[in-house]
Amino acid sequence: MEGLLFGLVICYRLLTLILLMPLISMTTEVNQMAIGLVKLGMPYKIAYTATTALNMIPSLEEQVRTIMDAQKLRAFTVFEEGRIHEKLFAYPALVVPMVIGAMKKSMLVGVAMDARAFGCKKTRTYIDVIRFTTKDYASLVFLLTLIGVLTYFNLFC
Amino acid sequence: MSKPVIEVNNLYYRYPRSNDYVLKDINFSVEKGQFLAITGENGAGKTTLSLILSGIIPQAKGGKMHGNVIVCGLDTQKEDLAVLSQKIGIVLEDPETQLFTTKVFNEVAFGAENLGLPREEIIKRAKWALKVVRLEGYEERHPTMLSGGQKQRVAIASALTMRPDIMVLDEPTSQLDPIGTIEVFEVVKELKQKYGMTIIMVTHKSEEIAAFADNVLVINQGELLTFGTPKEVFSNKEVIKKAWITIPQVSSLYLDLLDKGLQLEEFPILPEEGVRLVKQKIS
Repeated sequence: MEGLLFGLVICYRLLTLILLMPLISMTTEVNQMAIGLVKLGMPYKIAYTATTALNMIPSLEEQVRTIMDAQKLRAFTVFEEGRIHEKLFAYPALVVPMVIGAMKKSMLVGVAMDARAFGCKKTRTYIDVIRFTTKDYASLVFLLTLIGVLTYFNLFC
Repeated sequence: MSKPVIEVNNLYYRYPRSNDYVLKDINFSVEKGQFLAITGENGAGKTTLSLILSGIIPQAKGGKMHGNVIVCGLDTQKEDLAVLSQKIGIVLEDPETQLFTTKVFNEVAFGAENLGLPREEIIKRAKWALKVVRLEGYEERHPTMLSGGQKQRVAIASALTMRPDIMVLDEPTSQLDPIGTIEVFEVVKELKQKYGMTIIMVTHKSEEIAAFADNVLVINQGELLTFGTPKEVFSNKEVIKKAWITIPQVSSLYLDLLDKGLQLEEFPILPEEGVRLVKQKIS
């Protein structure tokens, strides 16, 4: 019983993380996220690679839709009408072209970034300036308090 | 004759993990302020050549390169890409993949930010570049929300903020509708005429080559087939047949007329020119 509960807890923790991700990308502009990461000490090449990848998600979704439409046009309706095991076996037909497309796309993005001298200098300038405002301090205090309270209840109650 | 801004000597290139040379024995030079069109079949090596001119090949992509390419007196194989990118800008074919930020203004500023220039200078340059491509007022838009022609103009502006002397455009209009194509060509024309930039454009569109290019370079299976003015190239039947180039409509009309026995003074490549020559013949 304890094992089952433990498994569920881990499961919910992961789910929380996954479900919160879209919230972050919806509320924070990708570019500002990159600058934030750089300010926290992450090398800018890594920060930009990570955030550019985030930026590619919408176009990946579009690509998946295009592939599925192309499959439907050729009477491939497993994803709509098929049983679970049929769907499972049909996924490679979707994932393979998607991965190949994503790889091609990322190579082209790489070329476009190289062409604009990305990574040529150790430090780069940012035209967007992000500052820690009262709002940020307030939310930081709120979060720390929340963590404190939760930890207290967890440990002592 | 002024000193060439681009010199390509005995260029051979093959991609990593490949034994075949995609470019073989290419030699040509381009003078300042010229418009050079590069044309030829798909897979002839045109894109590879434009990436070589900008130094991305071989510096970022590797592969084996022989011969040398000198751009504004700099060796593209040795010179720092940051320095090269301020001499030669490049616009790629696909409007989607070359824009990767979330705002037009950030997109345009990206290159100058990488150079580590002062913030005020970058903002000044980005504003200027957006003005040149006639996209003032679009600063806060998301690049994916623009039309194809606008996206390509953002890409041109992004290269312009590096203040290059040469602009390489790799089939910039192949995925655009006619209006988008006109928008891009208007901007490119202005870059050449108003700002004296040297333009290298990879394109299949013979009508546009006839209207804008000073010289045409035809590549066929990785080799330089011919280099000459649009008139010389389009009137050369052998070259046209071998490289599978389409010629301007007025030229192919003239070839039909020639078969029927109508000989004009010159070989027409522009519609107005064709009209003038026919009128001349009739009177």
